[in-house]
Amino acid sequence: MRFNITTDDTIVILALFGDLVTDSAVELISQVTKLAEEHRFFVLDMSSVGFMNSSGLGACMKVHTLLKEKQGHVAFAHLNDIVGRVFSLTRADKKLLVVPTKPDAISKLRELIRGGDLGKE
Amino acid sequence: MGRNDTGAGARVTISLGRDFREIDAARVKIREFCETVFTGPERRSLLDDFYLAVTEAMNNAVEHSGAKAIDIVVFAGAAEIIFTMITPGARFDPTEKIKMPDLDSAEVLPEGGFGLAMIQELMDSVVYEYREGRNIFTLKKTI
Repeated sequence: MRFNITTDDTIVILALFGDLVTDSAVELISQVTKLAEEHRFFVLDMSSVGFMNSSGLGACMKVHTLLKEKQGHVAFAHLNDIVGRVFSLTRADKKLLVVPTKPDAISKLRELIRGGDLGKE
Repeated sequence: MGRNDTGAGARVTISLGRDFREIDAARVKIREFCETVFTGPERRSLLDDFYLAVTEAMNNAVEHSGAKAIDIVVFAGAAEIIFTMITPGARFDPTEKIKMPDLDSAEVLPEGGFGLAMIQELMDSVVYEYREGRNIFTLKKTI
């Protein structure tokens, strides 16, 4: 999996390129763990993730938990149909912060940084 | 990696080793096969469900079955698609642990345990048999 990392103020925007499956799920966790040494708020831009299986979902859960432990948060944006299906089927879309677009994600995270309640775990 | 025909009643056969990267190649091959048999956008979401389910099945077999070789046949009927996966060796029943993790009651979100439950949700029929030293896992989806 390939990553593109940019920042918007204190928010890391991590764009993922490729399928999010067993091997790349491990790569994602490793990448976020490294970045989380200096950052707490992340947008995962999944517009270039063509396919995701349950291992990929597990990695998303892990990223959420890892950042929550650091009093941070992650928002998932631009899910395609098949990735969105995995989130909805498992009800992960009710527990994780899933938004339509990257600007929506940045807006939600800024709200949280300012102390707002997103209503998510 | 096997052969494939086209048209209703067609099938494709695939052999997998114990390597997760082979699953990606198998999924692409199954997708290409399905797209030659089932055309039209109205079937796309049904086929996406099928790809998801069979990917989970192959992943589970590579990770947990212990089999060195996994044989797969995908059969496309007029209105259904059937995925059969055969792993030789000791009895390995993937249907024994099918239950979607309950995220609402989880204190810490689980990172696994979704795959088999997803298969159950996505497919119309999930059948496991053990015959002559072979595990036979059959998934059906009406298309």
